[in-house]
Amino acid sequence: METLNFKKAEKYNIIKYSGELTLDVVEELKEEISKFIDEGGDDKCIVFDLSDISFMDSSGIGFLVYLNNVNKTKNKKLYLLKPSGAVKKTLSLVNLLNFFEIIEDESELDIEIE
Amino acid sequence: MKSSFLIKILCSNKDELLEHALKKVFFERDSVEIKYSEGPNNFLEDYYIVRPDIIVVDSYKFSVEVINYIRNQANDSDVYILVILDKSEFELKEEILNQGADDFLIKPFSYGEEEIISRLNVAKRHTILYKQLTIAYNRLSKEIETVSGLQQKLLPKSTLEFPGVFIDFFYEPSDRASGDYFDFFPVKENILRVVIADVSGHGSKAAFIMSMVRALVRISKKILMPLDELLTTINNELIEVIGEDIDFVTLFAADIDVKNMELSYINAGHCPGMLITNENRIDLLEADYSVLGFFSQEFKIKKVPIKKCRGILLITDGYYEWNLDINNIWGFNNFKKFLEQIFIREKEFYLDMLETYLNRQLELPPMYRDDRSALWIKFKHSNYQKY
Repeated sequence: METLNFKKAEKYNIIKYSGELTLDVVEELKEEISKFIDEGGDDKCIVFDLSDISFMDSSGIGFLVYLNNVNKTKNKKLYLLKPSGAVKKTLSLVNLLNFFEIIEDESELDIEIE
Repeated sequence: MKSSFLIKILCSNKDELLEHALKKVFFERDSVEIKYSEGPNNFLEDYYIVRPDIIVVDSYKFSVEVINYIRNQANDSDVYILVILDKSEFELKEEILNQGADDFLIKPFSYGEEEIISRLNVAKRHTILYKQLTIAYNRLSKEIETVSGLQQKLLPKSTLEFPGVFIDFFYEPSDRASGDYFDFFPVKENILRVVIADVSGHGSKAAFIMSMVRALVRISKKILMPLDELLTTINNELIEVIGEDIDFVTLFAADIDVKNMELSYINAGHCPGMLITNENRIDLLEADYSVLGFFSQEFKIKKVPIKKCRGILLITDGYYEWNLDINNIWGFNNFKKFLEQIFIREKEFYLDMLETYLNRQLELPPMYRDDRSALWIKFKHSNYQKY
C-alpha cells in the first residue's frame, strides 16, 4: 500500500514515500510534495527517502528529475536517501544514477550540510 | 432540476403516494418512463424489458431477492435502488444498504409526501450525474482510442527488403495510448538505420511526443544526418517542448553497415541493445547517455563489429517490467537469461517464437503492464558478398 510521510527536521525536511512510484501516483505526489517544499521556507535541503519503493516506472523517473529541477530553481538541494534496489536498477538502466545526489545514511547529510 | 436524459424507473408495485411524488419530481418536460410491475413474479422480466436507471422496490424480503439478483447475478451496479421498508422492518435498514441498496424509506411515510419527494430527488440527481459521467467517460475513451489508432499508423506496417539483413518486428499495445516507437529505413545503399524509443507515461501526451520524435527521426531519412546530430536535434527539440515537465524519451538508434559489417549506435537511456554472437552470447549495448528531454548532452557514436554476430534485438521495457509477485519484478537480467536459452536452443529466431516461449516456458504467463515493442535484425551472412 502506498504511503506518503513528511518529517520536519532541524536542518532539513524528509519526505518518505512507500509503494510503487508510477504514473498512477505521480500527479498527486507532485501536488503534495510541492506544497510541503513551499512550506519549508528557507530550508536548503530536501531529503527524499526511497528505501521502501518496490517498483518505479518511467513516470517515476520523470518525477524524480522534475523534483530535482524544481528544487534547483528554488536554490534547494535534493538528496535521495537509501534508494531501494528497484530504484537504483531503474535509474542505472536509463543512465541517471549519477544525476542525483544519493546518500545511504542520514549522517552523511550532516557532514554535507556542515 | 430538469433532465435532458431519458430516465427509466421501475417500481415493484403501484402506490398512490409514490405515484403522486414521482409526478412531482419528474416534470412533464422531463424525459421519463415509469413502469409499475404487476407483482413480484413479473418484476425481473420487467427489469430486462425496461433496463431501468432507478428501481423502487417494496418490502424487505422481496428487496433482498431483487438486490441479490441485480447486484450479483445481473452484475448491474449502475442502477439506483430505493427500498421501501415497513415500519416493522426498521431494524433492517442497515442490512438492506449493506446488501446493495442505495437508499431506503420507511412506510408509513412519517413526513408524508415531502419525504418521498426528497428521496426521489436524490435518486434523480444521482442518475443524471451518472449519465453525464458515462457520456464524458465514453467521449474520453473514444478520443484515446482515436489517438491510439493514429499512433499505430505511425509504426511500420510491413517489413523491408534490405540486402544482408532480415527485419522482424513486434508491437503489442497496452490498453492506453502510449509512446512506443520503432522504425527502420535505408540511409545509404549499404546502411540500414534502426531506431527504437519509449516515451515516459501514457495517454495522448505520450502519443503526441512519440509522433514528434518520429517526425524528427524521419527527417534523417530524407536528409542524411549522422546519428550524433540526429540525437542532438531530438534532445534539443524535446527540451524546448517538454523540458520543464516530467516527460522524457529513451532512444536507441543504430546504423547497420552491411558492407563493412559494423554497427554504429547511440543509446540514450534506453534498455540495452542485445547483440547476439554466433556463440549465442548476448553482448549488451548499454546506455552511455541519459534520457532525452531533460538536459543538453554531447553525443558520440560508438562502433562495434558485427561480423561474428547472428543479429541484434531491440526491445522496450514492457517486455521485462512486470510483476512476478507483489514484491518482485521479472527484470532485465531474467529476460536476458531467458533469451540466451532460446538462442542456444533455436538456430532460427523470430519474434513470434519469443512470444511462444514467453507464454509457455515461464511458470506463470507474463502479466504485462505496458506496451511491448521489439525489433529483430538478423544478419544474413550469405548476402554479404553483394557488397
